[in-house]
Amino acid sequence: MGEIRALKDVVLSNPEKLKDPDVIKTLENCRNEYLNELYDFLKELNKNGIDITSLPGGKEFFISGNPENAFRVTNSFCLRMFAKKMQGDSFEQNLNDTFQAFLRRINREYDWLDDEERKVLRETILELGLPAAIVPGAVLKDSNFIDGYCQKHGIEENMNQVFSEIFSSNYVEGIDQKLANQMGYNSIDELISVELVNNPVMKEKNDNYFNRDKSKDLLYLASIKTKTLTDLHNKGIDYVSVDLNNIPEAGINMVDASWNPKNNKITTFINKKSFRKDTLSHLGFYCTHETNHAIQDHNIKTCNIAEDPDIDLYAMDKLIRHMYIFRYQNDSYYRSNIACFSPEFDAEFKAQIEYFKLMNLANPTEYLKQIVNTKADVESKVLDQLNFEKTFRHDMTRIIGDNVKRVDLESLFQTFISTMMEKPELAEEVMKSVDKDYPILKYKYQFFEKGVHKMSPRELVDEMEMAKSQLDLDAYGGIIRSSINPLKDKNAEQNISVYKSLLNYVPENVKEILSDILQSPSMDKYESMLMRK
Amino acid sequence: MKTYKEKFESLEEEFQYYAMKMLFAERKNDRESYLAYLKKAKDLLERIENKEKK
Repeated sequence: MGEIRALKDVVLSNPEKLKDPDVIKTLENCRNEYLNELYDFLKELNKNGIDITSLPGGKEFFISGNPENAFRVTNSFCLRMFAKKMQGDSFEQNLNDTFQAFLRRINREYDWLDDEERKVLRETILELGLPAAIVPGAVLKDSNFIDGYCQKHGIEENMNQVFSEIFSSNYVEGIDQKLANQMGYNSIDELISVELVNNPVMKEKNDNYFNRDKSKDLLYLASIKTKTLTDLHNKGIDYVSVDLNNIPEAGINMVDASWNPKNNKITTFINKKSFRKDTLSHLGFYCTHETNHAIQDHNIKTCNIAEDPDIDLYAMDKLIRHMYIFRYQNDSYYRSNIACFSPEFDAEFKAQIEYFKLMNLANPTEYLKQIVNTKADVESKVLDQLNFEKTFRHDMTRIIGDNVKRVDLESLFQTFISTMMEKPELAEEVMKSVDKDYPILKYKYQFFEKGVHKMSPRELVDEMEMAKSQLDLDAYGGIIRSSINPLKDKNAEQNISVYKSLLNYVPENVKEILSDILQSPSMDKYESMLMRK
Repeated sequence: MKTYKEKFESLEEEFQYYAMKMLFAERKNDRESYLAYLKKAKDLLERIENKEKK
């Protein structure tokens, strides 16, 4: 794990490393090892008679060797594990560790699998019938999995249904009732119904969220201005960010982290009721895997309010989970104190790190400047090409325009040629990428470079003949327009001669184009001159 | 409701927006968008720097 993480960091900072055969080999080994581990784990589960599909929902439970390894399974599953452990079978402990590693690795490395491997993994999990509550978040985020899951379990293809299923397993007896009573309702269902489902404002936000144009998304605001959070606010907690890694869809964790820009502290909310005391006691703080890494990697200071007896953290956590699906698009991310990444953008823990790094700095612009400059340096050649192409296309549009005058054309070509000469290789690449207009431009370029005004009619016709096999009829039109154009041409007579030569040369179908040109207003003068000749 | 994109109050804010878009596009392995946003962010950065020089 350490190896692949270190490698990932190296690769992310230097994409060229991906071409390194040693790096590729290491990645492949890690991936194979990971898949083997997965299959071994699943095989062992079956061999030991553990039928995950039969596990009921109900209370959730944490097994935690250390904060990083925490995961949530059903209470029943844990009991089976402990029961076996008590019988002296060492397998369960190993299995426990393997399971932790398994979930952790899936969560972190799912993106590293190729499509086929992801498919195998998804199908394996579906085949096992893992309840959504223990499906690794990275897999759960994959829409392909959700589709398969909904299909397998015969539920409507609606993320809400999956969320509901997950929520239903996230239950501690009495907490819902307590929360509901605190907020003046008889039951949690009534609370949710009134506050969320039947609340037209929230419903609209929910509908807007699910029907939104995802391509325009950047960030979403969690709409959690409820009584509970107002209470928290009144207790001095100004900033609560709903880290989407903490909601079931993204990671099935029980901790939320907040960052307070005023004092630069991150506050973690812990569902202390879900932890064994001996687990909780040695934790300075407890975060999701992504948040945890962000904090560890960047030494961000944290404070822990888990011991605050006045705050029903579980109630808040549960409420946030419910509220999550009602989040709506936020249009003022930087001005907002309650912000979160949308799942689409929060797919990697690296994004979370960037987020904390970004927000940990007083001036985001300065931080982003460094990133943009660094990346722009790395991508300088590609960006040059993009710039070049933009100029190129702009010039080309002008060059092939019908109304361009010869003097302008000459100037345009000179600019164009000098640009090309500066970066001939780049020019060649861009030229290749320019589609249907390219032959015209290429020919014009050659045409002009050879000095059309210095050519004899015969030479010009030879040029045309050479181009004949390459150019389509439109190209002929373009050539002719560029060769016989401006009324102010000092070499008008010579050009008329050229034109006549062309008329003698071109096939019948091209004459149609010439006729069109002749009929254009700018050609009136030429035509009359031609007629006089 | 105006979108965030329509509400840039400064070049800096617009730069932040496109820089973040660039980062997200990178996360999504959307190279085409990544380069487009990087270019946009870099252009905006140059405009900011030119403005500061003046």
